[in-house]
Amino acid sequence: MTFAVRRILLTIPLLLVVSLVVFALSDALPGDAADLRFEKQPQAKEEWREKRGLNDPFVARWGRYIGGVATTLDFDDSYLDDRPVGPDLLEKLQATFELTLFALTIATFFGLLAGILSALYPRTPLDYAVNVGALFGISVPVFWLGMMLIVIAVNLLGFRYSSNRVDPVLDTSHFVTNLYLLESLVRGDWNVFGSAFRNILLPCLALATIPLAVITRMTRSAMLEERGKDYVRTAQAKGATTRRVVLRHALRNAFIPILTITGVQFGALMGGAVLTESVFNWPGLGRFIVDRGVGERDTPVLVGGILLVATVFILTNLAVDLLYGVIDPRVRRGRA
Amino acid sequence: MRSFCLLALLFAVACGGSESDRSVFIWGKSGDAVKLDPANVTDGESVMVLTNIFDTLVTFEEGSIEIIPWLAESWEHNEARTVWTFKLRQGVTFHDGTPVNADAVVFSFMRQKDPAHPARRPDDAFAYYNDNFDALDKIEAVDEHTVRFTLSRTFAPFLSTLAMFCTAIVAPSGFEDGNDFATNPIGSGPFRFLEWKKDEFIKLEAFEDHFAGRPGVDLLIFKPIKQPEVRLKELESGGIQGMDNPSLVDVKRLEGSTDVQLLSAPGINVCYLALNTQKAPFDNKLVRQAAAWCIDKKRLIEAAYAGYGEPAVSMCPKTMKGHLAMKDREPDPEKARQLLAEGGYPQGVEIELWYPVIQRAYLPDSGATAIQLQQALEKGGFKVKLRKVEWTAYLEGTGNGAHQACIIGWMADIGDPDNYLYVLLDKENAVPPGANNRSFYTSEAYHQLVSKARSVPVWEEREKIYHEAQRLLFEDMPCVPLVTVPDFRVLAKGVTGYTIYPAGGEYFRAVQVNK
Repeated sequence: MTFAVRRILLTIPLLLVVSLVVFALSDALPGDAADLRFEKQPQAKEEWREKRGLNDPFVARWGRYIGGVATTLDFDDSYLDDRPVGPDLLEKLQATFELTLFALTIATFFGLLAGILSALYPRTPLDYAVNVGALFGISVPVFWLGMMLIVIAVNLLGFRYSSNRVDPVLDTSHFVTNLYLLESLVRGDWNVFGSAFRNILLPCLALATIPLAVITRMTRSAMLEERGKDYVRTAQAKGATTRRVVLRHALRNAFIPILTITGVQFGALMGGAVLTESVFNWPGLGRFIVDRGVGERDTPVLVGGILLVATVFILTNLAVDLLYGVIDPRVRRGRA
Repeated sequence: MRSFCLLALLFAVACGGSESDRSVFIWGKSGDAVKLDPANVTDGESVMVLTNIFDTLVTFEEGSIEIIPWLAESWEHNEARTVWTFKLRQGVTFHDGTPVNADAVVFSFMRQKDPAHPARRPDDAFAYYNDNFDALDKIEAVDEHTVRFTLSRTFAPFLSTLAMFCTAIVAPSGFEDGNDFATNPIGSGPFRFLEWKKDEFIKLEAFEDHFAGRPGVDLLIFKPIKQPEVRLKELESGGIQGMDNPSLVDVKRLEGSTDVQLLSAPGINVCYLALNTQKAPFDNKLVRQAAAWCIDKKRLIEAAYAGYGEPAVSMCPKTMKGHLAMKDREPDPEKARQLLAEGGYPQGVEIELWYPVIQRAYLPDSGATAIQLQQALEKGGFKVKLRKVEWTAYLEGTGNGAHQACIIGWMADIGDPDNYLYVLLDKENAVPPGANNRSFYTSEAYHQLVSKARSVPVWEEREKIYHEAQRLLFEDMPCVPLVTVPDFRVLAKGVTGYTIYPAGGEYFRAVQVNK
């Protein structure tokens, strides 16, 4: 219990430090969207900066920003048109979240399966095939793979490919969240669910390749290591079935590194799905940060976006740490 | 096993799909709109949506730049063309049922003209209005259906500018009750605004009461799909029914295809090489002519435009009225060397050529264009250093005159040669920052010509003046016109009634989708 509480409390200073660094870095960047917006009107720009409080001391601005984010999820207003960027950011975060969650579910399921199988039959054709597949998954660039998936789906399989998240003909204006899959499932709106599911398949396959490969390799090596240990031999000796030995004994012990890598992958995908999102036209957070935050230098989008990604990353790690405790009681009781 | 059953079920759901009985036309475009307030946008992605939500007083004839009556039934003007009286069509309403009357027209202009107008918003910029309507003195409602414009001087392109998106008639009621017009626009056009999900889609619905008749489809949806290849795949698989800007490689492949319709029309655009006349060595006319003698435009088109394009000779494109057909210089590097020597550079001269990191319709592959120009110029005695600049910085730098030479282009906003010959080359537009005259060409003789052409009311006389101006440009060579690129669109089988409008914007009111 104390472990969990301590671990949760620790995230707060961590988030503050992250926000400080992001804020300071973006502050040090020369030029922003306002330079273009007020290209020929230095006076108007000065008035605008004054009104937006951009001339205040750094600490005051940072404090105000953190206060806004923490209390009302106010991520400041865009430098392009003075509209709040918070709603956009959170909407894109949900789009990316859905994609990541789905991709990682696939990756974990098949990664574990492939990893366990290849550890059970090391140096067999099956093992080699899994190894080659994993190598392919890690090394193939997603922009190429994405394009190939589309070509194969459309030209060979006759799949009705539609980028974006859901068929725009369907009415989704009454949806409360931006999680189309989950919300349509809850609402029982099968048309929207079908469309959202179909549209998420290809991007999620593309996005899943790298974590799938990583998880496969990690599972394989962790399982191989555990299989040689004494307790496994003991379990086999006392007559436990292979299934039980593998799933109950070995896998449980191999799970810590697998869980770690899965958590890291989740965080990485939340911010790093830019390429997949671009190829498949997925309106996600990574693409938003790159296009609006970096491309158009809309600083609040950049800061808010990075902050959100960092938060998700930290929270994922928190969740993983807490799960360690569930899987391995030694972690819970440990000194730390 | 259970999970496989679940997967199979999901798949069945996914492949089922839904058939709606409403006819739908989905248009794939390269980027999302920025705003949906016609007076406050400068980008083509917003404009092509707005041309379907709003009407203008006059508009372009189908697929041309000729002006025809639209919300205004008829008009008259005095001889000097400074007082214009427009008679509005009767019984026209906005999407919310309020009438399109003279007051609405006055409102649409006054909110842009008058800084103290109650409908002003803090982020209003009105860039196009400010660039085009400085001569507009007064606009008044004579009666319910009559509007009078008074200009401070003759402004020949006036009628053409009234077809431009920034003059669209907006519903005054859309600015009441705190409605955010830029995200919830109300117009009188063939389609009514329904929903905008940023970066995903903009949904419009047929406006039953449009004066020109109900449009051909029930739902019109704009869907931003950035990559042209992905856009095309989606069209081929039936996800969308039409798209713009296919990649030129795909255009080659689609020619003669029976699965989709490939449309093209001569574009009103020009890509050109601007030579900074304020900086050595291009301050010398002979050197500028030498550059023009170097360039093999046909070869450039083969190498950098996949063969699609027409060599441009004049800065006023062939597709624009007022264009003067001239015989171009045949590429001749020897002649170029000779001129360079005469201009004081017998050993050749080193120059820096700027090119942007961006794709434009007139510049599909900026790197390839730059390399082609480099090779061509080096044959004629120039030593060319290439400099690649990111787009925003590029516009800023070249607009300040930081370059010696740069590759740039222009697409028409209005159907008048003034939009090219005055905007791109008159000395009034050679003032940094943000100069459109990137040659910084300040010829007084030229200035006299184009300013005169702006104030002469009769077209035949204006045409003569523009011809003379183009001859002067051909001699002075402040910039080398390179190529005019056709516009391409791809439509699904069964789509009819679509036309490319050369002055920009998309007009989908006549489009029908036959299954």
